[in-house]
Amino acid sequence: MRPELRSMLTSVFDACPDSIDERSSPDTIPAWDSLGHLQLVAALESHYEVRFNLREIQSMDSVTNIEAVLRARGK
Amino acid sequence: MSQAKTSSVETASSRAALRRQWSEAALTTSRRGFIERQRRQGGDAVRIGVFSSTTWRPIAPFLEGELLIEGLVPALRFFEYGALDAEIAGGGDLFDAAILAADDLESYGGLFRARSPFPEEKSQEALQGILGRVDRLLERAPQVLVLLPPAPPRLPFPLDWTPDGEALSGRILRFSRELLSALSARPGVVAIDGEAALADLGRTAARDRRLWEIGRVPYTEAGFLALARALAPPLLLKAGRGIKAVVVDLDNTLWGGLAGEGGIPGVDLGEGYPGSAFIEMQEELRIWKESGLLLAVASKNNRADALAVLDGHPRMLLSSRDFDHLEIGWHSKAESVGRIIETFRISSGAVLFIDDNAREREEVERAFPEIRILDLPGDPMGYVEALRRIPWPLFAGSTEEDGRRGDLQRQERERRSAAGAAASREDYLRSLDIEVSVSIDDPADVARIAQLHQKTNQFNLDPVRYGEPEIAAAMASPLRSVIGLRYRDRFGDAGLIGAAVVDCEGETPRVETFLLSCRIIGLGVEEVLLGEIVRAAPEGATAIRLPYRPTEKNEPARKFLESLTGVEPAVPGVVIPIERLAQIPAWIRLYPAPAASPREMETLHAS
Repeated sequence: MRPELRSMLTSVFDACPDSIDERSSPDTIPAWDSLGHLQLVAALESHYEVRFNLREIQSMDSVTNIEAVLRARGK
Repeated sequence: MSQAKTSSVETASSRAALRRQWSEAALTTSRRGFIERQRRQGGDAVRIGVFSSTTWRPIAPFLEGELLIEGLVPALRFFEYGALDAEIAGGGDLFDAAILAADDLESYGGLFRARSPFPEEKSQEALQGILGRVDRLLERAPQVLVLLPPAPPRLPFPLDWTPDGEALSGRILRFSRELLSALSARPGVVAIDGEAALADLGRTAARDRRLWEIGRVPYTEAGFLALARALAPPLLLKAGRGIKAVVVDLDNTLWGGLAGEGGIPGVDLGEGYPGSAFIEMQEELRIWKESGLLLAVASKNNRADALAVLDGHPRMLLSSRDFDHLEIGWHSKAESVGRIIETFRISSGAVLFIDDNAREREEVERAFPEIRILDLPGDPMGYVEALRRIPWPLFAGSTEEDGRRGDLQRQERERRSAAGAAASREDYLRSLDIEVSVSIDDPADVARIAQLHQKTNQFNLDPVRYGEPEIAAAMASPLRSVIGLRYRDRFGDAGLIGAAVVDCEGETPRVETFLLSCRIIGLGVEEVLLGEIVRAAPEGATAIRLPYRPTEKNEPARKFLESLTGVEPAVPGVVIPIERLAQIPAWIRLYPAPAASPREMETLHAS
């Protein structure tokens, strides 16, 4: 898992870094609700300087899937 | 967005530093950490209900941040969609303030739809809908902020032109005007023009169609931040936070140039840039004054010079009578501000300090951590805009009594901190990272040193106006020395700002001229120049002779001589034993003289 992704998840969701792994998702992180998701998307877009489309935003519902979208974007 | 830096940010030392930290953190992942730290600092609790028919919860961190940095601890509750009217009808908790976001296009019953006749009935319905909610909220909260309808969608001409001859934008205006006049008749209600708040950001940066489609979120993070900044001032005013007094510098702040150097003809004020920028500044301050704000001057100047311009310059819009207090002299800005605060009997948090000199802004900020500082841009063109955009409300007109709360206790606390400020003066000077370099008989300095001799009036022991030939001759002479002094600190490089011509013949070297730009008086730099003169003296010299000729303007020079000898300086000069001359102050470092650069020549005017 990319260290910067871990640090973003930690600060956006105020989560303990140790509790975050590839399987982390809205089911495992309490603050990852629909609003938290938009905050995470804003943080990702700003950090990686990309603009996701709606389908990508909706598919990024776990760390694994976020990594997949980023890879597909060549990031 | 940069990396999260929640752990590395230290506690802010002043209100202004806190605001700077927040501005940096607001749109990054570190804002959550910032907000939590600020919450732990505590403050006055305010309960705020936010009522909207769209998703407004994303404004939470921004509104919290904007209020926390002013010492308010908000408890926000959101009532969105159906919960909006359920809560309003249900009449639950009381709030200190309610925010009603009437920014949902779809709630206006076709008002925003083009090519249809004006929907008179539906528009009345929408209007009454908003006013009914406002009236119910006024029963629950003493203050209700209403976000006005948004701008209409943009359509190609002539689709926005309706059959009854009214443009889409026109009917929105008509609706808004009616809404505004109904709202302004209700005490406790404040209308907020969201479009104006978002205008600087621009439509595309303030809204994001994806957010709307995903979660009916009407604005981006940057958009919500801009709205939070527009919503904060009325909330702050209600909580007793606001500006009651403005303390303003004169030279290069209220007019261009230095009153003490050129008098009325040397001051930029009037038509044409930069004089026009200062006129605008004065116009704005006059409006503030007429609205009930206290005005004061804090200026380093000879009183007579400053008053000559204040009351004698034909283009001045403000005169000394417009100011409730004048602090004009050679004491530090922090001392001046302290006296003004004491005179006005207000807390420093209610004072806006305006000064073009970043060094003095910082000195005042250190002495009064609660004071509001206007961050003036370098160019006077931006002054009035900076003034109009302050993030704080003004205690203007009838609301003044709102602000009295807690003032006396705060004043007491601040007097103690002002007393502490004097003790920390050396800390302050150390923090400037002052560096000085000395050049001796450097032909590259001739033009600049001659110019200093022409222009310097205030810190000039004996204003002998040596020109370039005299300076060059003194440099060439084996018995005379010309010393040039350059100054820089962490605010920037001031270039060559001090000079002395010394005649080293005989046992007691005779200083012919000794002058410093008034911008750097009081920072200990004069000691460096004295030290250099001593070093230039021939071996065996036990004293040096400093000239003195009083003029209308060189009071700072007189004070300096008095501080060396302890007595009123005599004309034509004083002899001072070398052992009595102070060492170079510990906060000043010396650096090697650079080759003269073109940049330095550009700053010639600024002295």
